[in-house]
Amino acid sequence: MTKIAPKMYLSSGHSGCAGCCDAFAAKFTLMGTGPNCIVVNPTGCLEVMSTPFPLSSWKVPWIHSLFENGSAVASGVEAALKALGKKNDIKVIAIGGDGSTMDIGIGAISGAFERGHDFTYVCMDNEAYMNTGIQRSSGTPYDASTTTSPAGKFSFGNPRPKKNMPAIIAAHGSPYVATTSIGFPRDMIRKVKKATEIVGPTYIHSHAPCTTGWGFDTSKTLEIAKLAVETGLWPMYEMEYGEIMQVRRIKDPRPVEEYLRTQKRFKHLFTMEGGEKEIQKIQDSADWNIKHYGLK
Amino acid sequence: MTTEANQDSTICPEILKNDHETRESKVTCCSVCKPGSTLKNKTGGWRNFRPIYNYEKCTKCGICEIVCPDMSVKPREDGFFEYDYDYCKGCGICANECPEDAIGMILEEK
Amino acid sequence: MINPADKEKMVVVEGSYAVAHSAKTCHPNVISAYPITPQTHIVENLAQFIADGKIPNCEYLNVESEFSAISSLIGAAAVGARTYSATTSQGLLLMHEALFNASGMRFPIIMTVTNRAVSAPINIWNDHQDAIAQRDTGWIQLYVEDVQEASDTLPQIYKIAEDHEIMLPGMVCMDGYILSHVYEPVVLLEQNLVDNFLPPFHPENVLDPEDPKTFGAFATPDTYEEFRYLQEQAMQKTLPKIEAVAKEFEEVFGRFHGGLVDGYMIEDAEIVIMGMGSVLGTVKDVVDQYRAKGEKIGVLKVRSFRPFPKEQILESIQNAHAVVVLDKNISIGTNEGALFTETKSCLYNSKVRIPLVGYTLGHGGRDIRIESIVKVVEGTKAAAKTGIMVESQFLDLKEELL
Repeated sequence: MTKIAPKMYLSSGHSGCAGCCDAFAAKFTLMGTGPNCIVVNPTGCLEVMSTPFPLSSWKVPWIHSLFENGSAVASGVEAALKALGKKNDIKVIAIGGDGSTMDIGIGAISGAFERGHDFTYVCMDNEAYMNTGIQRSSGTPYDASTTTSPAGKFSFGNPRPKKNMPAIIAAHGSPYVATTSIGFPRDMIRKVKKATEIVGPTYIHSHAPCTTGWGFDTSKTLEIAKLAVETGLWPMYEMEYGEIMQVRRIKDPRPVEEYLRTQKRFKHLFTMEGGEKEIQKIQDSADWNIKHYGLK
Repeated sequence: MTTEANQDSTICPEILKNDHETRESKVTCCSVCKPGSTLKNKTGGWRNFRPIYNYEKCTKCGICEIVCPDMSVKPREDGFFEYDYDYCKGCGICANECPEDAIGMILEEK
Repeated sequence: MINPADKEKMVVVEGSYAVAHSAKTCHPNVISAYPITPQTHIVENLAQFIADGKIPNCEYLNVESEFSAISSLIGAAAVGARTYSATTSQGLLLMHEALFNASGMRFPIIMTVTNRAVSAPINIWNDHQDAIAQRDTGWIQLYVEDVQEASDTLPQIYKIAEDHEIMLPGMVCMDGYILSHVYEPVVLLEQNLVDNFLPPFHPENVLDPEDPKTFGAFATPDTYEEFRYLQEQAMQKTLPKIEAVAKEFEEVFGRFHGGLVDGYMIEDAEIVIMGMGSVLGTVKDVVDQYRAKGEKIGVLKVRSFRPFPKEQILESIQNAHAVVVLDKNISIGTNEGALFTETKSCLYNSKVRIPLVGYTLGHGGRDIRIESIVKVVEGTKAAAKTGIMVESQFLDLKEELL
């Protein structure tokens, strides 16, 4: 492995949990953008853990406004840079979690992509509202147990599959939409860099396993991220104007059971009656991904 | 090994020097903060397990630096790396990801 | 009063056009626009100015909601842009969360609000409920009486809001339809005079990779209260600034619409009628009639509702025998309008002891007729003589509908 740019634009001393996925998402995003950027960060763990007034972990200009307006603020930043003649090569980045991206902020994102602002939106998807204590979002996968979709006698957890956010963004005619994972730093850094170099609204959706919310040992963050990709549950691809141009192939897909076993949020599938059928359904969804995206 | 000099040079050095002054940072308009100033939070105290390099096994590949969520793996002049234990929270990701098994995790004695 | 020097310069335009023209002369860098009646003509006119290349160095954003209208301006202001939007009613309510955010982050974003009633029942006509509901958001609120004032107040409020000691957002509140859609003779602001009056916007803190600052950090109980205190302090500094800027405006343009408040026939008035916005035109007509009969009736126009000019109000009404406050809004559960409640509160710890009565009126655009104002004056005269019978009430209720 060749050394990636060692310069870090996120500093130590943030209060993310040991093994924090958001810290990775921010670190890799900034390794992709370099210092000449302005970051908009809607409300979430990342914002809270990195900016306890009067301190900040950010070494690039950074703004937090509200939970649902990250893209709208970013579009104002971009418009102002243009109007003031400062745009040049300053990259405008918004980085938000799955809740702020896929749920509460989706209207603002749709607007910003439709208007065609020159910015990159990075969704760090840890598949639930972690900052408020692991509540279900539209990014929560099928059967995951969260505090608002708990498994119980009459429930296997979240009853719905993940929302396909990259497809929604691609439908806006974005020149570049890519999925990636913090388990593949070089892939993520490359895609962020590429996205920021393309003029227009671009989107990076990064899968980000959360040690606290998913229930796994702090040392396994990246290992589990890789498992999600290797099982076919998290397909990694690049789209240009809605067409899939590249996929990351998985030669020998691992069974989803290996992935599910690593996390407390799926524990009930291995203890409840009927759990096997549920695991099969999840396997079917991975198989569908493998076929649909041509991962093999 | 942990010294202030290990920290990235882009961090305002005065933050470390004028510890007293910045800690009492005044509340100002816009809640503006200085870049990289969370270095004041020494998160190393959270650590239960301490990562230790076995330099004989280390191939200087640099994966540990990339996979540290706390930016507490620092490159040395000789190409090896060392930990900044002021900030390492002991998550163990570096040890888990090291392809050469060159990092051990030992229980912190507190 | 029309300045004779202005007469030759006057043109008859729609209120919204005059306001859009005024916004144009202030050189905004980012304008966000979302249609809502009766505000839409303002942003339509601005869109045409942009299309005709008449606003240099300006980006016009067709956003997908009022929430994004204000949010995009937060981002733009953080980069150092002068920003403008216009909205009303439901749109202003949709912005509510971000209004607090804009003032908490001390961005001097400026909006024109064409005041309109709020739903339900849905209603597109004028009252002040929309803006009054935002009174605690930390925005400067100036209420204007006519189209000329709506137009003239924009450069004033930019100058006030962008002062480094203040740095607060502000809204110019003009009555929807009554002012936004009326065609009146006005002086369209002259670009050279505005340039002379309003300096360019250069905030101390901006988002810039050369000097990478963090904006909008979270504050713990250790510091949060101080942020609120500083906002209040800035608002207090706004009080003299509003007066000073109104005078500076008069020096450059020759027009004065009042500072924090403005009196009409108030010096010797025994009965004072207080209010905000275009209703004051009708009230002044009534006062003229009374004065013609020799009765000492006067008017106190409250131009600044935030900051609330306690001292100036007290000083203006202290010699009256009774005061009546007209509110085009109501705080449901108090049976009072906001201006009445707040005026009463500033009397309490003072030596001024006069009867104060309130009327909540004109809801959802109900016409406020001369006869109704006469009824108000007669009621207030009675209160001055015999004491208050009813402290606050609805005016012109249609009993037959109840």
